[in-house]
Amino acid sequence: MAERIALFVPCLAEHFDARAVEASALLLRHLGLAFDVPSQQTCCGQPFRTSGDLASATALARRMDKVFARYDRIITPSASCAAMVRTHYPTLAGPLPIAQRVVELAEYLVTRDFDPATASWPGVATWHPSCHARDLAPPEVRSSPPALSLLSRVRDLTLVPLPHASQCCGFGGAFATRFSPVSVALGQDKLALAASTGAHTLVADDAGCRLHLRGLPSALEIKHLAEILAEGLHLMPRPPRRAPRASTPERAR
Amino acid sequence: MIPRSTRPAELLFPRESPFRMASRIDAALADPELSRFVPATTRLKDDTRVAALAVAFGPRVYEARRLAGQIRRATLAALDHHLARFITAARSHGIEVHIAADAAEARALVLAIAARRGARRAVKAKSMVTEEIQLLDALLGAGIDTLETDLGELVLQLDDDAPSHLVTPMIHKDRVAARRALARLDPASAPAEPDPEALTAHARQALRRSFAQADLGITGANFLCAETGEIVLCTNEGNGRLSSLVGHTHIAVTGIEKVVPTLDHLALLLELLARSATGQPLTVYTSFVSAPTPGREVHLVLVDNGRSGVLADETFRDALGCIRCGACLNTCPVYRQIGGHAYGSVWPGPIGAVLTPLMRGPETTPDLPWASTLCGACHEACPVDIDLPALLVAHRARDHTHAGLLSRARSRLVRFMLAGRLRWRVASALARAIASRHLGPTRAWDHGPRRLPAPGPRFSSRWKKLTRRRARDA
Repeated sequence: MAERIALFVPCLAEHFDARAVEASALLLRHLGLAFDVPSQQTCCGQPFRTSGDLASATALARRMDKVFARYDRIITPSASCAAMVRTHYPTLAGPLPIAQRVVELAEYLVTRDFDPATASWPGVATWHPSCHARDLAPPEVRSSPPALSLLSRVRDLTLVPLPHASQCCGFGGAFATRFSPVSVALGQDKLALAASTGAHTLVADDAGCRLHLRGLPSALEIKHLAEILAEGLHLMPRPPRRAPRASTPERAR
Repeated sequence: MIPRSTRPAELLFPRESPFRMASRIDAALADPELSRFVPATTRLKDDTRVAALAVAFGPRVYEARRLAGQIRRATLAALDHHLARFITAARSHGIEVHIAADAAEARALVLAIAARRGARRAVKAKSMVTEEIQLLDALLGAGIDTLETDLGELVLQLDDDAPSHLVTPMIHKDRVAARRALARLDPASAPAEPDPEALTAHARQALRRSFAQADLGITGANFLCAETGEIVLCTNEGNGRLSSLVGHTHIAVTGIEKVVPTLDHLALLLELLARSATGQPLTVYTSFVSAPTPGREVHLVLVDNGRSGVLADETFRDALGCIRCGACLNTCPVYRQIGGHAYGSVWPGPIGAVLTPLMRGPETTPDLPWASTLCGACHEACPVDIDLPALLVAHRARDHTHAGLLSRARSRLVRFMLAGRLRWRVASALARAIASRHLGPTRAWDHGPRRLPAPGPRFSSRWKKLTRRRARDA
């Protein structure tokens, strides 16, 4: 019997970054997969866990488990949400079937018969790893990041390494507002490091990082991996780049 | 002679209670020296750590770390037993062991020994526990001429400053600042340039004099080996070993949690400690103090000062496994920005954010458990596998259970609104309206150059449209 697949929509992306989720959905469709977007889904409860309201986080974990009960594979374009379900649900609510079935989009794509070289995305990009990808797998069994391996094979895309890539962008949920000055300083640091690579696109796969970084002034466009792939496969149009503030080599040409 | 110094205790022991981090954070972010030295040094140390561990352990580094974590946890679970074994063994070769319930008792014990031995001059090696019990001030206050002999700590003593890192105490200063401070030892012979070698030679002059004149040497202890009853010191400058050998009395001061069952266990922890701290295979000096030489006395003051309470608390007990390598500080994005003094504690960084509320009472340090993005870098760096982000969440959970009725009610309301599709539809429409007007809690987003981006189209609505169109086209 075919795998029953569901798309688990990060609640922050539902409201602030529909395009990243749409790109993910279009990719899954491109792979010929039938999937549902369960309309009862709301939030995985991560903000409750990180702010110490474990009872609410547990209640939402149980609810998520019910909402997705009929699916074998639950795909989400966010390492943070996937890690909440896979790693933190069991400590909150004991073994829940959903914990075994959730998978982050890039993790899923590398297990599929999908060749990123079928996508062509002319441009220079750098990739910011999601901190919570750390929680997806114990370090000893962690392989090279799936998103990086996908991006590195996209045609016409020059992927440049991001210096000090593993340093957090400074979002951190409640941290972003409780410690605004530090959060902003870290975001600026991340953007400066990304800009120093010469890339014009910063790929960040968690909605929280993107929301935080997009709120800061920068000439970089900030995208989800799925947007790069979907644009590269012409599943969605690639928007023209915002005019950068400083003069760039391209403009000089 | 060395100028008398009493350090500004309020840096590590803030007078205000509850202590709020905000003003220190603002000061740190505005400090050009801190923002130049701390991020660069911590990143360098972090990279060196990773490289050194990879050379030593290859892909088995996480296995080593897991094993070290198990050793620490198992030891803490039977700490009374291991401590008793250590004390018996140490006493059997003439080390006098004392137990201090709190900082005041620890200071009194040290001062009593010093008085009985008629000590007038002391040299002191670097030790975070002596910072914790404010021993330097106590010694100076008792008229015992005491000099810090670790170069970093010496600079801080001369500057009336306090350590801002567990391993690299003057990480917030550079060689120019070090020259300025060390020149005060003897302005006439001070080097004109901030050349590290010349500065070290200059400091060495004064330090040698103090070592030669000291009748009392004070050190910390990195480990206590229960099997052999030995005190283990890990230092790089040789000052630790020298401090343990000069004069007629050596007093080592450390926490009760430093016990390691056997030499085999110790071997693994030593392999991990220096690599995690500085990227060295071992510290330059790894000294074992096993017994006093004839005519001398060796004392060990074991400090509890709140540790028993942490030990009894199973949720947080792991935090006592810390071997003070400082790796979590070096890798922490927040520490890199704000430095150590912002934490208002002897223990800064992620481990400090976990330990300080436990040792001082959570109500005195309400910001600390929140001073983290929970990025997980600290757990990954910890050589003894302490899940610091989980412990920070545990602190936040305790906060929540003690939170006011209002904030708990708010949390329950949001949870209720999230528990059904229509409810959430209504609540999120309201939340979107608040966010797009930058009102209420979203206002804090707008800080400096940052603005909260406006909510965009909802994915679920877009997807409905797209699938409808597709069905129509099909």
